[in-house]
Amino acid sequence: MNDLGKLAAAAQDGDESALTLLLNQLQNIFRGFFIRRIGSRADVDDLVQNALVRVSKGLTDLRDPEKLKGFAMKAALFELQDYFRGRYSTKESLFDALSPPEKSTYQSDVAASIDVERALAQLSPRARKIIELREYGYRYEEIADMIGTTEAAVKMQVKRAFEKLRRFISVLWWTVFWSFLSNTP
Amino acid sequence: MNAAIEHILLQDQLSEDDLKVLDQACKDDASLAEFVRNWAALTSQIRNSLDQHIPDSRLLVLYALSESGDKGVLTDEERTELDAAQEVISRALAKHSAVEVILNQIRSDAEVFQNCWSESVATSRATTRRSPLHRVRLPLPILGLSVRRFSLGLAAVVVVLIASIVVFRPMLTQTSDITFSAQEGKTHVVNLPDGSSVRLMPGSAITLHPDETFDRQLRLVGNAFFDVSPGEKQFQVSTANAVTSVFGTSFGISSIDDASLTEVILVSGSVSVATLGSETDPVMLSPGQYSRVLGTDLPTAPLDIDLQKALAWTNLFIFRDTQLSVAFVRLMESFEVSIVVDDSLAELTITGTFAREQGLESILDAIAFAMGVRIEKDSETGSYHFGS
Repeated sequence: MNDLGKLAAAAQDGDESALTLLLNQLQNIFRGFFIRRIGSRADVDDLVQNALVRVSKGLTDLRDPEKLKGFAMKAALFELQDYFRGRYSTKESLFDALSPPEKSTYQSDVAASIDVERALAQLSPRARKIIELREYGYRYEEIADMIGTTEAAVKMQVKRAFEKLRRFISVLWWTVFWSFLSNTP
Repeated sequence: MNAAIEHILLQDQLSEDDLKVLDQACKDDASLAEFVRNWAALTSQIRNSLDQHIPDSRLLVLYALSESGDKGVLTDEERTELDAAQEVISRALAKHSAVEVILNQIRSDAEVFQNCWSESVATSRATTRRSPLHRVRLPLPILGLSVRRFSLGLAAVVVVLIASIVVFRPMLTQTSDITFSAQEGKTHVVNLPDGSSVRLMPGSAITLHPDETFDRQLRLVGNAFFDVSPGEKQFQVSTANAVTSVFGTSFGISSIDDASLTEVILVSGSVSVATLGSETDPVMLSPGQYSRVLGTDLPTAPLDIDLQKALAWTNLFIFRDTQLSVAFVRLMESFEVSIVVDDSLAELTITGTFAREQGLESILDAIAFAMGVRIEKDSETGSYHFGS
């Protein structure tokens, strides 16, 4: 059995010092991993702590101490995914913070009639994938790495999506406008 | 939409200043407000759909591992759980093209973790071997694990450099030595078992012996910046034609094997530089001094130099009792921004080493944090104000 496996086995038998030593060794591994993945020191500290807590709590369920590596890896990966998915939890402020100015009639009509599904259909598959990844919690730079392109190219796709949405809203406005005219006696 | 607004909307995360600018722009331009509202609705819809269709992170990770042939790491319970969730996952894959990308990323993350594990085990092997369990000095209990915050000085050097790690790739050689190398175009930091760190410049490599108690003997090819933790044993770096010996310090070595040229620049502490084979004839350097060994010649006499210029190749900002106003001039020149510092702080001195790739705001945050002062950014001019 490897050294960490022995520590895990001793910790499972109630050896507090072995548990502490094990967690301290895992701490270095977790820290190295999270630094490579996200880089931000403050966030890394939190992730390391959370991953250690996961290991500490779940250690009694680890049947084979030889599998400590896989066990610790899952703890780190779970934490990392939770981190990404919660990264923009405050992003709602984009919408909430906007107190839209008084709207004209056509704006109200468009806002009421915009079909989000139809608007989504305007997006290219690549743009939609990028926006999905962004909304999942990845940064544009990370998305670029994930899909094998540059951050500038990723942002260009989003910019095109802006333009498409603007055109879509504009078309909707004209549709509402002509509908209004044609119904006017 | 003007470029400034577009730039804001393309940020990863909007700051309060960004939101204020956007809010004002929306008040001034009704069609922009309409667009922003609809964009927010659109992305919100995507987010809701992701939340609805993508299973919890745990299942996603388990699925990624099982599909990559790592089924061995799953427990029986996890496999059962995964089997039950197959339909949900299939639907998520069909509905959102991003899911496949996320799964690939998780597999890639798993590889990164396994590399970290191997590297840590390799570099700490000596420590664990010489320290049987019953003789190990007990570390802090888990609840006492400190959240390491950066401060200026040696700790800052280490933390800053760790943050710049991109790839850390050990290669076993025939003699069981381990070589750590930095790929072309990349800077890598190697953390050694004794707490020292080495910032390897692109194309450079160090070799060490991990199988015995770490002997603090390294072989360097290329250029590197060393931050050496104090220790009982001498820390020695050999190049093709020179040996640099230190106890605890930070210094840069630039070596060219083909030309048998080694240059040593000392930041703090003290080092001795000797020609390989003539170790009894060393030259002692003081902070801010430089020596060079060419071929089999003896080292040149110590020469006072400008550390910042001499170590420009490290992409580090090295401050040693440097006045804040002077340090900021360097940062302003490098990042091409304006930093205003209160008169009451301008003559205070700082000591610390920062990596350029850390970014200006991160560096300023670190300095402000360590000095207990505030830093504010003027959103209009982009300048920074450093004050109490």
